[in-house]
Amino acid sequence: MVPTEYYIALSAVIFTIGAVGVLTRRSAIMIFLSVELMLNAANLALVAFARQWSVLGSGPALSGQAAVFIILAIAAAEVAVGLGILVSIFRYRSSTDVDSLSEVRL
Amino acid sequence: MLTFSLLSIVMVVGAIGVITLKQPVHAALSLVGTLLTLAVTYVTLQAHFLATIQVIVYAGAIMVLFLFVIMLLNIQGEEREDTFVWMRPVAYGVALLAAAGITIGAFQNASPLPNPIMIARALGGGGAEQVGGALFTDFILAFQLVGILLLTGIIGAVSLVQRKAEEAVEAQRQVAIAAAPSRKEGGVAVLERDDKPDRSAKPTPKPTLPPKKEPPKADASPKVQPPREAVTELKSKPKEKGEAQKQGGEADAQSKVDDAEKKSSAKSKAKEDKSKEASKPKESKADDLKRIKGVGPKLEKLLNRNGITSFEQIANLNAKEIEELDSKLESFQGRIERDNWLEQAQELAEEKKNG
Repeated sequence: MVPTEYYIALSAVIFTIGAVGVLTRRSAIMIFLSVELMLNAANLALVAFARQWSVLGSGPALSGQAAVFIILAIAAAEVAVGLGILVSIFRYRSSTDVDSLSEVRL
Repeated sequence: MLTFSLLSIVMVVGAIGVITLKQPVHAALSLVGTLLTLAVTYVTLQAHFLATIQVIVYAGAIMVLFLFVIMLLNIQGEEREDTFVWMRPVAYGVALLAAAGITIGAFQNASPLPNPIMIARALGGGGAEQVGGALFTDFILAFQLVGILLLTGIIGAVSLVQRKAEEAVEAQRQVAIAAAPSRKEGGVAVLERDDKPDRSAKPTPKPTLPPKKEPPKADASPKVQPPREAVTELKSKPKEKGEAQKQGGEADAQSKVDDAEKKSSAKSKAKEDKSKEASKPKESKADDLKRIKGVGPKLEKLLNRNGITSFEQIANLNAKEIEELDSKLESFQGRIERDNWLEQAQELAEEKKNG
């Protein structure tokens, strides 16, 4: 079996790629996608650790996977509300450029 | 190890695709690929239930929602000018350092992997029974709180896109006025045609408006102009100013078709754009002053109240008139110079004249 540290390394790479996406993309939708990437990287780390520490017993063994399940639900709620905000902003602005969004006061 | 290498390569390529692809649809599809690969990775980590949920919820529902919004708002690719040019290399550098640091840390503090048999016994393959058992016993509080969170999310999302009844009616009228061809504005290409089934399903129709709306809903743009002018003439003069003022609200009103669905509201947003675009070349009386950068709906209403309704008026202001107008602008004083309205208005007036 592949040791846990490889999964952690992969999770770190995906997370930093997502972070770069959040910092460098200008469209709000693209920033959203990058945030989803970061969340998934964190999920991967949790599942890898759940396997690593499964020897501790039934509760702790699955706490990683249960946490991922909950994070998945949270991500879904966040996406719904976030896209709702995006649509509302987009109505008035007709552009998703976040740089211009921060400059103009309504 | 081979499986892991393949999966990790595909995942990293997909992730890089998400942050580098210009078109939002391509980036979203790249993310779907990454998420599906992640689901396969979960299977290798003895988390079968999570893999299924990942495919169904993340790659299935969440990404489809993304694609809905991207396609219905018709979001185009972005231009590449950066506000701070040094931001990009710094971001890459910091990301590289962080990834390297975490990777080295992971390899330094590696614990030995337990016996696969013990893992299988403890995790039970991460099946639904095991994860469900953990969720409903050890993590029952978190589970219930997530339920409340989802409920809050639903209410929040619906309330964000819901519009009041009067604004819905007003937007219907606005859309009836303008159904001419659209232009690109701010990186957004607006839909050319109406989607009829959307509006016909409106729950709260006002009896007088739908009949007026029928003629301008034709697909071909040239045909639309005469009936649209007729519709415009039908409305009395005092109302026109009100319409110009209400253009800010038209966006809100237009989506009153189906409150719970972001989809329709996003569609209506595209229609509202179209009507906003179309009303500019046709109506000489009331321009959409919000096209000037620095002017939002509130400021536009203020300007209309002070008699400014078209770009030509702003472009032809002399120094004394600027001062007078500025003093009337309440909290928006100083904007005329700061945002350079005269130049913008001149450009927009010329644009209007030419096309």
